[in-house]
Amino acid sequence: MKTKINHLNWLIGGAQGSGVDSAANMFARACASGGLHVYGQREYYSNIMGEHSYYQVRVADHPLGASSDRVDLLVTFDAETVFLHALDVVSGGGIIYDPKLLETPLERIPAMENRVRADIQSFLTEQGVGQTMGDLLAIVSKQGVRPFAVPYDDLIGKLSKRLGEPVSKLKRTANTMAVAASCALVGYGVEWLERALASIFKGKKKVVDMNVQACEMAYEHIARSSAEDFFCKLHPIPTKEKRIYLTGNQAVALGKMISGCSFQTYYPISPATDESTYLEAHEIFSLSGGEKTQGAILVVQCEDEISAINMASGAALTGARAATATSGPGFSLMVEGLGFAAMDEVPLVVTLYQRGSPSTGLPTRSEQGDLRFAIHAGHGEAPRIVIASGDLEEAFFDTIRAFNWAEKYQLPVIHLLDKAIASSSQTYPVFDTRSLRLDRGRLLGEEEIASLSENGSFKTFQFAETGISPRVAIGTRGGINWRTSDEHDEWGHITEDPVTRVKMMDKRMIKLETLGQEIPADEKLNLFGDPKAKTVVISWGSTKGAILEAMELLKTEDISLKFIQARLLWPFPTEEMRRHLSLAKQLIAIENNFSGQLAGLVRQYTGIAADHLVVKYNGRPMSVDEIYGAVKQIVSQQAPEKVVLTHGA
Amino acid sequence: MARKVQDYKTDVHNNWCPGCVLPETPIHTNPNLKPIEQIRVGDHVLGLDGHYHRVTEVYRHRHLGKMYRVKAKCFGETVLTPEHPVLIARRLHPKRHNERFELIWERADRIRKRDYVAYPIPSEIVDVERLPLPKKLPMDRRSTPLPEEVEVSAELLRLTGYYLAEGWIDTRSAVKGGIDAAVCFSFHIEEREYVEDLKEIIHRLFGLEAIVKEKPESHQVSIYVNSSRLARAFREWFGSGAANKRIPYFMMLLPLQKQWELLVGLWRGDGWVDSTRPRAHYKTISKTLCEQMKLLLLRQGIAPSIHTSKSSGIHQTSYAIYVMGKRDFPRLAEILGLPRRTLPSGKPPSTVFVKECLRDVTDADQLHRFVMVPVAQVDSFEYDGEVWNLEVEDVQCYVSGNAILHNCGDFGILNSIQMTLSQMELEPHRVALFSGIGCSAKTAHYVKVYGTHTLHGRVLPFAIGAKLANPELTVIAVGGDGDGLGIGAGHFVNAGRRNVDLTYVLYNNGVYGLTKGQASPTLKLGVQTKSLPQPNVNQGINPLLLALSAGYTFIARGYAFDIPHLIRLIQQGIEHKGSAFIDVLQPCPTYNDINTKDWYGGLDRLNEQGKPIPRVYKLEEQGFNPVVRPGMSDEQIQDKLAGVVERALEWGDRIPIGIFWKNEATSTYEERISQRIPFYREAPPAKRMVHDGSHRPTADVTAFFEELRVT
Repeated sequence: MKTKINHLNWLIGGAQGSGVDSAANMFARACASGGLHVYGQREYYSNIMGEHSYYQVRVADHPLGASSDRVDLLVTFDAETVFLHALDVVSGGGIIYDPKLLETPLERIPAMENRVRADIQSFLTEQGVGQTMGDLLAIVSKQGVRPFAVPYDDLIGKLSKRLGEPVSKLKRTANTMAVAASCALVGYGVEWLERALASIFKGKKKVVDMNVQACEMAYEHIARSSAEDFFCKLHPIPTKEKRIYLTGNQAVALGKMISGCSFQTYYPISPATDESTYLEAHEIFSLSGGEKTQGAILVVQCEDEISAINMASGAALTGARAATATSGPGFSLMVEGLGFAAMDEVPLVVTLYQRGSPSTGLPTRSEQGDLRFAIHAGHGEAPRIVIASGDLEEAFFDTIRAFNWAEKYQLPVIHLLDKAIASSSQTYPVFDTRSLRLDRGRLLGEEEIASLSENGSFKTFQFAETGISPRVAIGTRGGINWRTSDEHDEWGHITEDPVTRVKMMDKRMIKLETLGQEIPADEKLNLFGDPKAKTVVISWGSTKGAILEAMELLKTEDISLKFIQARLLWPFPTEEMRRHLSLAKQLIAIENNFSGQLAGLVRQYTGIAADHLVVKYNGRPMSVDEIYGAVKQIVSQQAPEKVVLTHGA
Repeated sequence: MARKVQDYKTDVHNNWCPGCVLPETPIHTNPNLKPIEQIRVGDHVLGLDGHYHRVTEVYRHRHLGKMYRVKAKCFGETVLTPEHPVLIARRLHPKRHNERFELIWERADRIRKRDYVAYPIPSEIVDVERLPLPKKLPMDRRSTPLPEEVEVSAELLRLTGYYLAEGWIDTRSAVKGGIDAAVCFSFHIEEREYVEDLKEIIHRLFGLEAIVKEKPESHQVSIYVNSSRLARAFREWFGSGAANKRIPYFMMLLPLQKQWELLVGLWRGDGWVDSTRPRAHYKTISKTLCEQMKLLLLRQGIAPSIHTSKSSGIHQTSYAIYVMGKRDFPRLAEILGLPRRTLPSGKPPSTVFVKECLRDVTDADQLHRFVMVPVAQVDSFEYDGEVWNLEVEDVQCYVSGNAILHNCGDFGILNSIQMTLSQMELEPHRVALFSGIGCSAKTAHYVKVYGTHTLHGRVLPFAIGAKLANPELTVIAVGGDGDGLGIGAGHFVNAGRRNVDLTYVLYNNGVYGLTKGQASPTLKLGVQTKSLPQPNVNQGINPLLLALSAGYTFIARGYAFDIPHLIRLIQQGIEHKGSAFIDVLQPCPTYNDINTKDWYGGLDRLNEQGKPIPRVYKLEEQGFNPVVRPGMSDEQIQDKLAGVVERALEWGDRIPIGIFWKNEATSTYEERISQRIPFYREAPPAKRMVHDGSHRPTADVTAFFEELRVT
């Protein structure tokens, strides 16, 4: 078998709360600190403890941005993970398992979805074997998968003797052992793992030492199991580049901080909450370029999302850069407040992490189902900007754009992300913030108001050709103004006058034309691949990474594509889209939803219909393999009009 | 710099309920018709119940925007601001003529041509037997002796009619300054019958002999009654000069039979009856007399039609009161004792006495006092100038020439907010007023501070967001009980546990006024206010106890009709560090007919002297101490709590107002934040410098990138 160097799909699974996340983090950091590029994706149940969760970490010598269906090395502590993922392991790949679980029968697995249990059961029956984990391992072994037993209890027992610590205190080192065993299998130096441990357990020397010992124990164990010929190998790539490893939630949070956002509200909701808690944990930071040396962001946990959006609006009216973060169900509640922000021209950023919907839906799973909703949310016709980020770096920079546009155009900006981005982790060079510029639009200070003020008050909705009037923060001397959710005149007082109504409606809506002209084309759409390719893929948001990687694979088979990634989704970049689609012979829309919402918009605004939809709505993000397969099928004229992808556990 | 209340009033607004009608709008007062700008606190004005009520406030404001002119078919016009409510009758079945009406308060700008304005028919009847004559003046040695008093008889009323139509006071000009010398009348030479009647009445009532002088060249007969005292009496009772003639107030209340005679006298003197058609009219240059005659005729079941002829040349503006048509003319003819004639029957009346058409309405008692006058036209024009409004006791409305106009209890609270701000001399730009949605929520537009009229139920999240982002602001939230305790209940409770330093004034009237009076969360179980089809099926929330359990650190109750007390409460609420909740009992004159001002004032229960025993009482007058100080023992605090609960549960016979709870021991949200972010107050979110002079971000997150560093 050919050895794969620096290309590893690693997957760890286990009951929620058993340390899957920390083990994955440890492995990813160990790999990343050795100069390797890492992409991680976390899958978990909407549940506190006990149900199955898993974490895929992909490691390579170049940046990756998506998950894969194939597993090179599966790491398990329990039988359930083996049952669920063993069949995804490639031939030649490995499974680390606990030998004491070999006899565990399928029926003893708690809390497994009935459909899954039935499928595995019939698979095992078809194979004519028993129903235990050992039986399944035996089958995959026949297909070339190599099981590696790691007797966690024995190793912990030995460690207990070596350290003189009770076993109960060392239970958690099983995670470290699993990771260490993985590193040992792929021939990765233990020093990188130790470095990761030191950074994870910063300041807790005793814990670090304990885990280092556990590592060594696992390395020794693997060394004894004659596994040096494992087909995947990882070698460190020394680099001088400063890299970070972060999650989507963190990327957005950092973007908010650097944008000068000083007020964030939220109501706990998956998968948005982690952003707010990260902000709260980092509420104080340094300032440069001013008299003050420290700045802060105030994070307020609200009683519901209705409160969250309106509280943020209240803060925005005082001149703070304010934002709120939520997911679909919370956004449903925010719709009322969104209307207010549009009606009263409040600069407000709403970070919307989509998840499986409708209703409560799939709280911890991914979907791109809220595009139409974000564009149309609210009664009546109200201006807003909707943008979608395709990866973590875009998420960071788009956050800054969102604040600039919100203030410049005085309207709510909805920043669409999804669970796949929120809970994916990736290595990036430290984001370059040197060229960032912040734009507060027509926000006036006291001196500037003087000439516009009439008797101490101010026309806050002054008619303008661009639709953008000067703005004053509550609390500014001379700028007293009024706002109302009713239709209003330039002074912000209620009116039902039909003429003023038309002018005010025009004023609000014309802002969309103004910004459509001002925003550069490359911030509306991203173009990738062969600009002259006849097969054009359109997509938006988190599918970007998987599409780009699939394109690389297809290219090796001489299938060249042009990929248009829509980033500004509202107001819809009709002209730009039409221009880029003009030469397309075959149009494929790829979306993580049921109906192809972007494809619908493209058809609605350009008149061009997609020839094929590739969709997925099982709550799992699209993988590289799925997109590769679907496009190949389409290009070879063997695909139906709508290709539904279904992979994922 | 001292600040005036005026500094907190907005001068530009389109929808100011209080800024209501144009100057010179005539208002029915007792005893006069007065232009609204001449009405003073203490005057009595006609209300929708046909009685006269005390004016408690007079307001004047500048209005820039539309004014609506509502013209009634026969009673002239009134010009109002768009939002001002007028009592309108609308047919329940628009297509069926004159069947059933619904009475509603409708904004001036929503009145349509098919509507009717409801006009009250003064219903009070107070008979007066005798009327004292003025005393002899000290220097008067030679005037003819007069009785001390005169019988208020049909004859006196007829005499009044003659005088109002044809009489004048002769002043002896020889005396410096003039002195009333005689009461004079003039009749047409043909009207001997009336002259005789007059002579006899004068003789019988006053023992005086009238001197009759015939002037054949001008076809006139003049009658002189030489009596300085009587002349003074007539000037006092009936006014002097044709343009100022008026009917004395007591006569407006007399029994119908006596008033009948007054009409007879008037018509004999100056009336005209068409000989070929069912039509009669009376002309006068006294606007007051014209309006009074309208009311007298309405009491007789006659709906007159008023026509104004503008002054031209030497002619003054005159007012003609027409009675015509097949319903009204025969009634007048009967009163005037006209011989029965065969005339064309005339047009059916366009006005409707509700007695005729509201037989189906159960509450006919209340409704039968109106005449419904069709709206002839509604138009609007742009206006920039003064507008006026009144605050009227008990009925919260007053009557112009053609309509019943509403005033609004919310305004009392509005005024108290403005007055509190001025007393505290808060700089307007440092005050942010947030309101929800509802009648009360318009307040945000009427105060000259940063005003944000937000969403239904959401006032507190907005207010909290603004306060936390800029803690330098004085933040006041206002809203109704439906807004705050119904749709906004979750926010209300959660605001309490934060204890952000703001003041929340809740206008509590037990109903949803803006949507026409559905039960609100504070309406008690089983209460049936007038627009409820069934008694309230829910229990009422006790806002004070809810606030207490939610954690508000200042809890008070005010009463909308005790403005000085309310001002003190709002001021203390603003001064309190933490969330202050002020529940303001506010009778809704339009939809809550149970918890009315009369009810709160105890008008339904009189003491032995016949004085009402008010339900509302002040806690501070009972020595109630609401203050919880830091360091108090748990036991002391529990005692305090028990006291609050006890008082908060009082309702019905005794309703406490004042401060229930003032907890100075609990930290504010801002204090808690300051512990985490030590520079929070100096550099709050609103004051963050987002970028430097070159628009580069000021936030330096290098340290956080370091945390995430892997290489």
